[in-house]
Amino acid sequence: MQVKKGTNTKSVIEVKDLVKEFRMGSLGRTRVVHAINGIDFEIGEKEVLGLVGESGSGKTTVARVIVRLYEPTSGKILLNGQETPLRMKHKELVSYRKHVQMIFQDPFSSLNPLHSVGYGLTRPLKIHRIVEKDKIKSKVLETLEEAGLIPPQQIYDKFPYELSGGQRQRVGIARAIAVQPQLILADEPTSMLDVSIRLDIMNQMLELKEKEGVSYLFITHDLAGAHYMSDRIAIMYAGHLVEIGPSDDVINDPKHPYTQLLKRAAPKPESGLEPEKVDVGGEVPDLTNLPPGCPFEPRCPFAKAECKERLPEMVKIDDGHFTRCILYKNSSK
Amino acid sequence: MSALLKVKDLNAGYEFTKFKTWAVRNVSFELSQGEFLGIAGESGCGKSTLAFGVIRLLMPPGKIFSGSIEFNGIDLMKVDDESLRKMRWKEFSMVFQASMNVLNPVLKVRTQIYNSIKYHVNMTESELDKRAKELLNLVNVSSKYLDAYPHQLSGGMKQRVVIAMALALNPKLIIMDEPTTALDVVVQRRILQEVDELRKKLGFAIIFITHDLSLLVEISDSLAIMYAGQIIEKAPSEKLYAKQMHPYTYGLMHSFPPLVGKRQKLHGIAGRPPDLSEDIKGCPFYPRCEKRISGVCDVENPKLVEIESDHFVACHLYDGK
Repeated sequence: MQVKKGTNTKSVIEVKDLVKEFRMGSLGRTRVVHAINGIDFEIGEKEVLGLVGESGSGKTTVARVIVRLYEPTSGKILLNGQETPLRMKHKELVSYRKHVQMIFQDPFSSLNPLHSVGYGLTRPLKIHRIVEKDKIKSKVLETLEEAGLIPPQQIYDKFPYELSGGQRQRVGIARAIAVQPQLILADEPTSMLDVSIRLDIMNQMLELKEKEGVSYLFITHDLAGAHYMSDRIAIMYAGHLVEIGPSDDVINDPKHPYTQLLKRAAPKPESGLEPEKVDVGGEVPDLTNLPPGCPFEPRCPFAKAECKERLPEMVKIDDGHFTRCILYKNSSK
Repeated sequence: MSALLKVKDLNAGYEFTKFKTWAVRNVSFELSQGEFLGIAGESGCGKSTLAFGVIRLLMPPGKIFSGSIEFNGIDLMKVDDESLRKMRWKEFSMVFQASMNVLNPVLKVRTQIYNSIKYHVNMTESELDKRAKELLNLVNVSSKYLDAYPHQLSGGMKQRVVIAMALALNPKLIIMDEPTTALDVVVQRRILQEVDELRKKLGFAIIFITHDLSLLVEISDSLAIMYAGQIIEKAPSEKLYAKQMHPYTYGLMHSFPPLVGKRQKLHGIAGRPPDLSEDIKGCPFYPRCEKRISGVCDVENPKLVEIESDHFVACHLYDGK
């Protein structure tokens, strides 16, 4: 099954049948947490893919596996069409991370409190030998300014505790773009920020995309935010991709019952004051004990007997729009 | 409808040895019986301090500096601690932000519900059992969970149990401080619907505090927007949704990308909220405001006045109208 990206540019990262399992518990009583259960997607050049799901759906694990904070259990990760080894040596990791960087969710704990902002940004430049030694400081200042931290000279000497949440997240962004990566994995970069600052950060990220030509995997639980940021959206549920397609298609015409549920549950003041009723109960299934069939079956209003038996195939709805549900048949379009 | 809660010129904050933080500044509002009032604002704007303040739950260093609070005809500022304790749960109750941590992990759900009831009313064991089952039914949790420990419940169920406990003695007012922030969107929406249905059935009033304005617009009767410790705009939800008079409310309302429709570029509010431990001269929003009038806005802090019927705004743009 091939899930093509919407644009015709070449893919920066390609993930094939990615699986990640965690073993938990003591000897003899181990339980396996199936965090990612075989997902496929690609991200093209200067493309933003939004990855949306509830907590526990495995979306953060996807980012952490791609940046190799976790080793994948199986599957393939291709960078610029080149297959990368599943287990990397230190040297390989360093050169891999020159291309793939991450922005973390919590700006309050992802910066070292003992080091100044300047130090934190100097390190990646030194490790990846981005510029000559004598040009490092000017490059850091330039990066800070690009990330909207003005005046950069003042920010350079500050420590994380002296910065506001929004500024800290900008430092996180500056750190990620400093090495001029091709792909940035942004793990809920705005969820810990105040509403009035969120939009600024999102706009900054979009601006940097245009300027630096970087692609994003934008992870969020906020459907509206994903729609604002992304060219394409992938919906994740219990470690599976249940729907993927161009943003406007997925939001305006969601196919999978889970995507439809997410859309109904999302606050949307612009559609008027009559909220839609959400009548689907239940919560995300236990990842140590996944049902053999469709993971959404216990909550799905359209569930049939066959949903219990096996996992539905990815079905093509339209160009670039796929969903994993028995309600749909492959379209010939 | 008569007013259930009257708050007048409330000033509250946190007193430290070296400095004071004025988290709530001259806040006045009224709440009718059975009303759903939403209070929205960014973190650090004083919304939680206000909520704790109106039911006198502020613990040192938190303190009410001045103002009056009248609940159901009783002056809460004059009530002693013992009677206040008796009023809590019975007259008004509270649902906290991290309800997961409110439940005692080593006590069964049953024991915790019993305890909150037993302090206030005498009930026999079988009456308690009946009431506890009733309460769990109200919030759609199966009564078999009465004998479960909190860790056996999911986040949504724990939140429901806490809401059930808040309802136990039929209070007239429930204050909810970001009760659904830690939950998933689908569960959040379900719980809000249920709470609203219960309110219509049982007739209690709700003060609902959140930073998520888009959520509030859909469910609350009226909305108060807080900024830097003050209420800067207050109106019925539909009025506020149709027309935001204060530039901050306007900015806040337009900081949410729309879910449906075409993608278009939006602009947030530049800058950040002021430090509440300092004295603020003029309008607190002045440094971030796009429509500021220098010489006016930076000199005098605007008062909250009724510009249109039921629509209160604190902004110099509407002076003399």
